[in-house]
Parts: sequence; C-alpha cells; structure tokens
Amino acid sequence: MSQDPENSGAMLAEIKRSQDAVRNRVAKASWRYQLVYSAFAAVMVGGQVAPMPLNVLASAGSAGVLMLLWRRWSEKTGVSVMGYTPKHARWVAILLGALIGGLMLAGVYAGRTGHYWWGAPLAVSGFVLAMILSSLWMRVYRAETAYRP
Amino acid sequence: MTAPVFDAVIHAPGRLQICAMLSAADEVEFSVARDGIGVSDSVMSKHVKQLEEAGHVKLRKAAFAGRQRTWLSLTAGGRNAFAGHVAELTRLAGLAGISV
Repeated sequence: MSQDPENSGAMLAEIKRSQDAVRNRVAKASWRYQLVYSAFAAVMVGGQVAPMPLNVLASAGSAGVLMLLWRRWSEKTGVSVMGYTPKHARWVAILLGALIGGLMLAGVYAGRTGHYWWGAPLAVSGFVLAMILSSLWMRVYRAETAYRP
Repeated sequence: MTAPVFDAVIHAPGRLQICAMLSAADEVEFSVARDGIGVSDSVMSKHVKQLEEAGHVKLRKAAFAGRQRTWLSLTAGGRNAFAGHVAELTRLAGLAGISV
C-alpha cells in the first residue's frame, strides 16, 4: 500500500466526504426528532406535579417513549448516536439531563406543597430547555466530528 | 493530539471510508456503510472482516420490525488507530505541501 504524499490529500478529502455523509444523515429530519423529544421531556417534567401514581406514569411512560423514539430514529437513518459521544457533545447531554432532572425535582416539590399550577410553567421550561440544548448538542456534534487538519 | 501512525489495514480506500463513517457515529448500519462506499455486499463483507480481524471494528446484529440488521462500530483501539492514521495522512500531505 502506498504512502505517497500526493495521494494523502485525496484520501483526507475522502475521509471528510464519508464523515459528512454520516453527519448529514444524523442531521436529517433532526428538528422533528427534537420537537417530539422536547414534548416528551415536557411531559416528564410537568407530570411530576401530579399525585402518585400519575407522576410515576408520566416519567416512566415518557422515558419509554423517548427510548423508542431514539431507536426508531436510528433504524430510520441507519446511524446510531447515543448522545454521550463524542467527548464535548457528551457534556451538553449531561447538562440537559441534569437540568431536566432539576426541573423534575422542582415538580415533585410543587406537587407535595400543593402548587399544582407550577406544572405548566415547568413543562414549558422543560420543552424550551430540551429544544435549545438538543440543538446545541447537534452543533457540537457536527463541529466535533468534522475532520480538521 | 494523536501520534501519526500508518495503519496498512485502514489505508485501503474502502476500509478508510468505512472507518471515516464509523468515526462520525456510535454505530452505522451495514447497508448504509456499503452504499456510502458504493460496493457490493460481498466486497463490503470482506472489508468488514479484515477490519474485525484487526480488532478495529465490532459487529452487532439486531432485529427491528422483523428484519435482521447488522450494525458496525469502531472499537476503542480502532478509533485510536484511525486517528493515528489520519494524523499520518495529514503529516504526509503537509510534506507534499497539500492543504486539505
């Protein structure tokens, strides 16, 4: 196999093309995925204000739907991205998980103290956060997986 | 920064493209990678087998909606080897004065 320097430029260009093809598949229809994902994140957060067992049903049901959504999206695109790779994108996913978790705890607190009206604003906050951070994740993923000489 | 190391298994154009595709995701479905490099099933299988034997790629079979699909991913060693190979290609391109 040749280690011809002249050939190296063409091979690096081929690497970039191949990576772009995968990245474009991941980005394809991602706004629809983000919209549904964020809607169920909102249900997960807002549902915590409800009494038992409705709050458990909201979190378990939404988690199940999010898992199915991710699986279906992977099958459809033929590309699987868990969210926890690559390295920098992982921190965006962890931040999103922590913030959604924090909002869920606020929901549980609101439910226990009788502030049921908190449910709607918490759900909206969850939706907006999920939309913003999933868009940010996509940007970081695209930047991080791009070939840089 | 990864040290530049030439990898003869990865270097072949088809296998280089497979590794490049896998480097941009956790897993890529066999048919997507095959279509991406524009080869037949048998040629693709040979490339995958060589990469698997070198320890660069692992396979996972999963059924979805009644269909069996094969998913490919880079191993940790494969990711390092690919990064090292890209660094070596970049070094060689630099020697030739090629900007990519």
